[in-house]
Amino acid sequence: MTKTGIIVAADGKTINDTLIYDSRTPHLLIDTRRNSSKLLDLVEMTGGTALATTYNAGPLREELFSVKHELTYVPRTSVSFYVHDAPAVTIVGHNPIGTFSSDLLALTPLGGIGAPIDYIYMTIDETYLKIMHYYAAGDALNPTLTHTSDAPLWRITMKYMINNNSRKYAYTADVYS
Amino acid sequence: MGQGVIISQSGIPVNQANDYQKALDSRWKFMEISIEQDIDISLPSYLANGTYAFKLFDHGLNYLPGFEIYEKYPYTTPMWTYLSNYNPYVSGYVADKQSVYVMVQYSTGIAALPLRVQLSARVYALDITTEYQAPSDPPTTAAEPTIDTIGAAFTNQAKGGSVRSTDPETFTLYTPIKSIAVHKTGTQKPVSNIVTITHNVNYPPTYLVTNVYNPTTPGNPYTKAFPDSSIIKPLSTTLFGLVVASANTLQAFGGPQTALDAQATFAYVILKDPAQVAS
Repeated sequence: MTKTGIIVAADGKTINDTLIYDSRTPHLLIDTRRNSSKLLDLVEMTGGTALATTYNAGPLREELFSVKHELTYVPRTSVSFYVHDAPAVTIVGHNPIGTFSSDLLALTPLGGIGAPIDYIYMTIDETYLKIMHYYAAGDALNPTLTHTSDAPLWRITMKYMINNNSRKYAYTADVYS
Repeated sequence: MGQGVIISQSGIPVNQANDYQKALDSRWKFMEISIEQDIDISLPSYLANGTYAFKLFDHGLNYLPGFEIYEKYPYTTPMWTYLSNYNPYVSGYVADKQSVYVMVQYSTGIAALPLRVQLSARVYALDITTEYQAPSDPPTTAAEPTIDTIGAAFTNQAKGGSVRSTDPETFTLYTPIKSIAVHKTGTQKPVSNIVTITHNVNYPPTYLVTNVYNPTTPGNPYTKAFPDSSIIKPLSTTLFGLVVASANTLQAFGGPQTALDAQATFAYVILKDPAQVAS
């Protein structure tokens, strides 16, 4: 373990006894030297466009947002969606207005038999974080009937945080007992 | 005695720093990493019908830690994971107080195929089953950065660090680089299919959640593999159900399609967002 850093002993203890903080161990990081909008930001958006498709035509996808994170690896990422407004029919039991939800936001309740499958989700690779809109008709009993997403009616704030932990440094802490 | 260390970010007076403007507050817990490693193992292609736990590695922390698993894609063998029509397939990951395991389902009567598991694991030195809330002294008047020339840097020689490094992982502490701090951890049993955690952050915070299983709980699906020990599943933002954060609560809801696991205890970690993200 490196010798430089800050260690803080617990109240009434010495640094050879119980530590409450040790900067020498790795931590989950975010580098605020960088353009913060690339690593941590709030983005206003709708749920997407009124994608329209049939069961036979198959699902559709569209890109709602992308940011080039300028890291050279696939970083750890947290994304959540804050719902400001949504069509009343879609909010029963799902994603209540005024709450943040996690990295997949269902625009229609998932799992309804014959109901469209409509959600937005995050992808991350070595270059981009992207927010995508997915829409599938899901109505096998009426395979040529066109279903249309009400995604434009959603008003959402997306929050994302991209961490600067590359996993390139394999690490196992000393375990004290 | 109340001793400790608080370091604000560059340009912010310590006594005017909000939580998100601090690089270190020694009263807080942080998302300290205990183990980070890649794993590449081959598992038996055939075993009798059932779910088996294969140990991936020891963490040795003596508590149920928060941990994350990243499966590597594309697999060099086909993507068996979670594809239940293949045999065997990976049904999940768990940790007990000493080790991390992969759970694998074997089915007799289906052609057995070789299973190779490639993943990265990160174990945090954080017992999220402990009830904890970080102390905080919100200032009456928050400051905005005025200068960006004062700060502290401790380089990590073992990783080739220098004060001019652009790699944040080569510092043990550098005030413009923030370690993600913990606001609150704990557990709660669902009541009427709902869990409600009061966090009082005053904006919807970033969170991670998971389930803990006790071997004595009736119906616990992990009792056979872990008859004598509680286990914890990986940290997640979804938990196969609806989890939402509002200004002062974190809630998880159950239901026919989004059930909280009735055999599990809900466990959570609420993070301190590292910048002003309230909106």
